[in-house]
Amino acid sequence: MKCCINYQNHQTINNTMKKIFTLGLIVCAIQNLFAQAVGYQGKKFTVEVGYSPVTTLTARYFDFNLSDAHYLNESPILVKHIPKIAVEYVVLNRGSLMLRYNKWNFTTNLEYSDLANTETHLAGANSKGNMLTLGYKSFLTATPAPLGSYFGIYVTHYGYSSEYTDSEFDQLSIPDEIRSYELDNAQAIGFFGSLGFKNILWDQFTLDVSLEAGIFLPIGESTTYFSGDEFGDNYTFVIGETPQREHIKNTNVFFTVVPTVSFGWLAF
Amino acid sequence: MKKTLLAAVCLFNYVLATAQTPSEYQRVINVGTLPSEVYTPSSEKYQSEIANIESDLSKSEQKTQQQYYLESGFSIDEMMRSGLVLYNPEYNSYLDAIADELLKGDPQLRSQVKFYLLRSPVVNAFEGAGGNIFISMGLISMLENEAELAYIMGHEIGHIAREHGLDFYMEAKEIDKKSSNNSLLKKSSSFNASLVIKNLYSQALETEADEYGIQSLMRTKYAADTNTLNNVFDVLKYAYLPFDNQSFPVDFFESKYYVTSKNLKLDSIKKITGEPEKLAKKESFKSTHPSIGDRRKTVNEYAKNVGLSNRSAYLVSEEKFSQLRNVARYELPMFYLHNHLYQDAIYAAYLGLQKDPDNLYLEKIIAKSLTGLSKFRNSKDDEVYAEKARFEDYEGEQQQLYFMLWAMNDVELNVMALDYTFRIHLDHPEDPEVLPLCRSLVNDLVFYHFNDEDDFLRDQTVSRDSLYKLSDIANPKLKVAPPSTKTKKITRKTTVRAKRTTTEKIKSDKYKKHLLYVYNDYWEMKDFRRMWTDAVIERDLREEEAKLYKRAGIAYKNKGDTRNYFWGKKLGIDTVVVVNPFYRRIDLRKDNAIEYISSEEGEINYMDVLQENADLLGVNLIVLDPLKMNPEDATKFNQMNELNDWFGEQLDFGSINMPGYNQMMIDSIANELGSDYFLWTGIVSLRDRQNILGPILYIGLSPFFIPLLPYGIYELIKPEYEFFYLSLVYNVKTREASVLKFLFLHNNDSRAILNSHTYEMLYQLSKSSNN
Repeated sequence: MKCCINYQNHQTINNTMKKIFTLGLIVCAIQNLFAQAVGYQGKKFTVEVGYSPVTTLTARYFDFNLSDAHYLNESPILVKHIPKIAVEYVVLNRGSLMLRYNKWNFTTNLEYSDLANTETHLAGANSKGNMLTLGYKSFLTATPAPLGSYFGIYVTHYGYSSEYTDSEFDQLSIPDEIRSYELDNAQAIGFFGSLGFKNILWDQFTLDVSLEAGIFLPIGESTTYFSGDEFGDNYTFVIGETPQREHIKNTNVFFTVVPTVSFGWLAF
Repeated sequence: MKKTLLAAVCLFNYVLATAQTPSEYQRVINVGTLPSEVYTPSSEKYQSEIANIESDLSKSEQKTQQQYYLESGFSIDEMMRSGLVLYNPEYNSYLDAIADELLKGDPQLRSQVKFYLLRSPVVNAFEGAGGNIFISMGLISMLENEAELAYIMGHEIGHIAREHGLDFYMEAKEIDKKSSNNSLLKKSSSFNASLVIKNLYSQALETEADEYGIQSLMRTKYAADTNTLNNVFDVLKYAYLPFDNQSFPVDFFESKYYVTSKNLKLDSIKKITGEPEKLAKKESFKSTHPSIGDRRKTVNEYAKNVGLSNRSAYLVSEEKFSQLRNVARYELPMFYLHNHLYQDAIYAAYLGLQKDPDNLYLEKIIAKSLTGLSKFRNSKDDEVYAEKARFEDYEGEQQQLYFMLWAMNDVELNVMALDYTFRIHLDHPEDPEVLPLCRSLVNDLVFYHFNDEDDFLRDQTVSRDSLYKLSDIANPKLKVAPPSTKTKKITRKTTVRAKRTTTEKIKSDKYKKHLLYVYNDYWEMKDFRRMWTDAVIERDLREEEAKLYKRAGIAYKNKGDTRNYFWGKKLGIDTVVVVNPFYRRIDLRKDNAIEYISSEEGEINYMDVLQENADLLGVNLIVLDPLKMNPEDATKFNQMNELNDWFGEQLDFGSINMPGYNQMMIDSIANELGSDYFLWTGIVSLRDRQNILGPILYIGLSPFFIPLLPYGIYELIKPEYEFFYLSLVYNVKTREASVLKFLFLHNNDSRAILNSHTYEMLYQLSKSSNN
């Protein structure tokens, strides 16, 4: 089978986006720069445990006995449960810095064209990795941080590896060859904005509910190219197929919207 | 022996009568045990009152009664905690003794009623929930004898005996209910029909109380003749006038070198007319009380056959009555002063000085009034207090004073006020209150009218805001003098020799430039010179500061002898006195918007929040609040009231920099409590109907993003929360003010939010900028 991967979300890294996010971060930091950080009754450091249900249009299609066409039109929604741990420190009167760690798995649909058979197939991409997020929350309510509604700007480093698996059926619901292949470790950087509300539940325990939305952009290029082995022994490149192997780069760009609920304890 | 005894009794009586020798007049204060209304939470009292509501009433009637007890109980308690009511056994026992006479035959009713004096110049008496009757000192000051007072007390007892308070409340609610159902009443647009019905009902109750009052007076040996009763109604008729009508001499403020302009003499005084005895029929429904004429007639019907035999104007004590009235007349000027009614204060003090010419207390009231009037005039910041007393509106001899002060231009008023006040300082150099007033007046002369004393002595046309020269003595409002165009900058180094002259020369100078010589004797005095030098230095510093602000592009409005309210950051205060923190919850979704019970709970909770956060920061917090007091805390209660009066004055002064009217007392309270810093703080918490557009938008968008649905529903059912948070800290000695919180938040005032703001507020207050 002659084919090439046609990434749905393929796009080049947009430098302008990076600049905008950096500028936003600076604006937030300048906000209330001269204000004194008081915290909540003098306490500024919070330890938090959070949870995010991540919805994703996923491609775990091989669990279902349906055609590719079905997945192309109606992708099943799956929910991933992501636990998070974080620390937060009030740095300005209305601002706080956050450092967060979580594991992050996600799946996406990939489409590829079998140019030889002039048909489109699906593949599923399953990425697994660790996220480290540094964020700044700027509180909108005129109450000293960390209390009230806020908007946040986060920068996330995501180190991951991806595994791709072909659909077990083709468009005609005829069983197809199943191929799996793995890329080496890759990295992405995410820029997120969030809106949330943080309150004291009782004593020094906090509740933080937020909605984060942002984009991941890959860092650099993957050193691993599709060699052809990933597609099986019979795979041979055909001149004129696109993209060529040198074109298949780690350009995995994706957009996510993530609700997060966190419980915290104001330690000191 | 008999003679010795008689002499001893006479001496004792004399001591009693002159226990407060007028020239040493000390203001009356609360002493002894505070009544339970002051320190007991009103909600506790309310719970016990509603438990006694008769169960056979309909549910709606029970609910109305509950609301009555809630509103009236909380309102009365609030007044009793406000400092308006005097708790002093010396005077309260006198009122009690009269009540004993009136209610000799009804011990049960006697045990229900309590009498209090109200520290107010308003001529009024009224009854409130819980059998409390209040008689204003303004009314006492107008009365002629004890029998008149007894009749008024009898009238108010009548309201309580007949339960008029509850009766009227229930009836008013019923009228409101009917009028909202009755389309005919609703459609009536020419007048408020329900108000008319309520007023007619109220008038009937007043007539009933009048009848009760005269009957109870007739049961006693009090003089209940028409003459006595007519005097009472005369008091009501002339309630808008001072307690006496003595001519005010145009030369009252004159001194050795200050001569009043003849233009300040009013040609004719407006005659006293009195309130119309008979209201026109078409006007009568506008009043809650029957007309004075009708009331006089009703009462005289009862009294016409009462002779004077075996009856007396005094049954308890003539001395005590005159002592009480004396006190009322001495207190009146201070009440006026607290309300910035400067002309009223001066006239009342002037009347007092006629009997007690050297009374320092009264002289100081005049000095403070002149200072206040002058500073308000000069600042032009707030003309309310300076301009509202239009002399045309006043009747009687007091009109001369109103005219004088109205007609004087700002410079003359300032110069004259300083002359009058400095003379008091010369007579009483030991008094700590007078010199600060003088300084304040000199500051105004330097800030608003002259560069310095040299300019003053040369009649150098006013360099700043004032348009008039000292020699322009004619009232600018009567004959407008054109502003001088000869303004010339004079350097400070120029020395001008003070002009010296004699009184005769001034007088022969046809009053021209007479203001130049006012301070003739004072220039040689160190105190006087020093005030001018200090004022010039202060003014120059202020101007430098203004330039810096201007260079930095910041608006600087601190013009004249005024002060700014600074935002408080790291003030470094370790001990602060919190004065009477307030909390008020208002639910605008309800007919009875004020939530009394949760307001009181909120106030107690807020005090806990203050204490908790002060403990965390190590701030020594002294709370002065009635709900934290004990029955024996009369001194604390006095301190709280004085401080609240002072705070009210300072708020009214706004940016005007002026000592409080009772600054000496405030300074001594600060010394006693060990802190110069006093915090006034409070919260108003609002609930309102939610704007429905937001929640609908969330719900509408929820198909696209499901988490918006529960949020939209939550937004839909919850009220719109808002709260206002104010915290101001004053150094009561220097009057420097810092705003710590001035917030209007769209939040619920949860404990966490309050904790957060309160901690921050106390943090800013307590931390030093060196930390």
